[in-house]
Amino acid sequence: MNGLGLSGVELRFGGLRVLRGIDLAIEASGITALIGPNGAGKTSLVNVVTAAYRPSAGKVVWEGRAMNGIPPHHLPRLGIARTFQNLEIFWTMSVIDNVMAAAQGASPPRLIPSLLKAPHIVRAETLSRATALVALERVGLLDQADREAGELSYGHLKRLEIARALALQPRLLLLDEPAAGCNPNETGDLAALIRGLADGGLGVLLIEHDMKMVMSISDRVLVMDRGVIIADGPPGKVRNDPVVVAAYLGPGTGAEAVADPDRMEARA
Amino acid sequence: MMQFVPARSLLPLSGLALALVAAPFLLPNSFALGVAILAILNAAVAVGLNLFVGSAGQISLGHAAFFGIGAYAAAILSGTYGFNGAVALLAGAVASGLLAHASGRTILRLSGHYLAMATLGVGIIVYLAINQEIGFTGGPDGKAVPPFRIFGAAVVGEMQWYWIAAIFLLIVTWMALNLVETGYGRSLGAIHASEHGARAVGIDVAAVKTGIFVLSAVLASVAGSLYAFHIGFITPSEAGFLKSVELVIMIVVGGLGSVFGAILGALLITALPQFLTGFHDYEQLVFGLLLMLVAMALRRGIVPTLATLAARWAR
Repeated sequence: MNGLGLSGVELRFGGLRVLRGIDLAIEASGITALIGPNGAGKTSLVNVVTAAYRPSAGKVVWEGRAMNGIPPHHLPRLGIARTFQNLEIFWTMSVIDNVMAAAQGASPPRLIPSLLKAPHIVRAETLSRATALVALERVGLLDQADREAGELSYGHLKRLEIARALALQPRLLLLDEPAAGCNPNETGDLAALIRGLADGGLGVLLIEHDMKMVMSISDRVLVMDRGVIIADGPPGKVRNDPVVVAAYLGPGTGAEAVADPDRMEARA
Repeated sequence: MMQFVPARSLLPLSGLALALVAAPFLLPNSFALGVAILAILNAAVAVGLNLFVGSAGQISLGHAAFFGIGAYAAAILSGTYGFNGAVALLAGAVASGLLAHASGRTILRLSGHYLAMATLGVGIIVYLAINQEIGFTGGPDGKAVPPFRIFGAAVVGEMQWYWIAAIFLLIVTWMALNLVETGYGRSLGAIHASEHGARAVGIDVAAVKTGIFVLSAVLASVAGSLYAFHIGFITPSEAGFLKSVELVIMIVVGGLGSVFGAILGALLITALPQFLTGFHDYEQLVFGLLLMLVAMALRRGIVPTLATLAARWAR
């Protein structure tokens, strides 16, 4: 099977069932959005997929390969890259160095050849610089390459994380709330960037609270609530699904309420 | 194309080589030369420690243990068992590396104060072992070290030791610059800034931390062996807590994460007490005040602060 598959994934912390038997298949193409109210289990699902948590039961399969128990730093070489809800930027390094740290991702340099500056280390250096520049250009940060990461604006930092993920040359990109904390302009620009990446053939799994963004760029929307997937389909269908409306606005409102993105967002 | 020396560091590296060549002709006597040898060996340790502390953002309060292991490997293997000095030095380096690897795999999961505590523990254990195993180490009374022999000829005299120490420091500096200016150095910086971020870009955080800890331990050990052969008599204090703290002070004063900062810090902290002897009873007081002054006025350490100022001025 291609793409990402979850079967019967459970995650328990003590008596708390955070994920309750998730079955899911996600293509490594187009934009799949994952939404749901706070505490629905979105971040837990991401953590299971990125091998930060080991599921209590069930399995995660990527491109036909079971992922249970792999260390998180192996994810990039399997073709999966991620960004973080709370920025995990390498603050004291320059923008280009941030991305170059990822560009060497598939085969990080070893200690002894690095000490001696072996020829292949020098070649890898040239290669990762080129890869990093391409990634920076794709997110529109090429002119910021030599600045220190700590000097960038918030919107640019979000883009820097995406550039860093792109430098890993992934087949699936996991974006954990890329628009969180951005102003409407920055969000609009990000949406266009993400849509462009997906149109260029990259699979995107988007975890996002910004409903306008989700509804405008996603090909498929998954809605989670209390550890299960409650709705799955194109944005137009999910938006009007009474179950989804009920999850966001509370029971009893489902049938009559129209899923207004602004109201859903207010609850998210 | 083979590129032995990174272009950025060619100038400072030649500057260091020049200073090391010129120093013995400028120093007034063999006592000063002896201080210079000690300063240079400390500098090599500090450069290694600074990769671990300054670049990778970890902490070690027990690094003198590795210096001590190197020194006692020289004393015991060469003195008691009559091995060649080079063999003793290598054996010490291997022992230090193995200890760093074994302890690193477990304690490097810790960070901050907890890592400081754990490395302090490693240092104390080594110090106690050296102090108590009187049969091997001579205990608190110390142990004599026979001269180092190269092809049967003993290395004697301050001048010969000076050149050995200087070449060792140049090699260590060259390797450290290679490291910080390429991908491995970037991995260290990434781990320093965000371990989650580092893992997400494919860096094996545990392996890199252990690797740089082992490297810094091996460098400390080799410096310890050279020190023991040079000085001819060692005591457990070479492995003690104060020596560990002194090493950390060197890199903080000189500049965390700066290769040349570590060297400058080591020179200052080693040589300063000699200049302050004129203050007699107030020597320690003046030393302490100078440290406080540097910490407050040059917060990021001497070399990084001055480099920033110079860059601003040049603009």
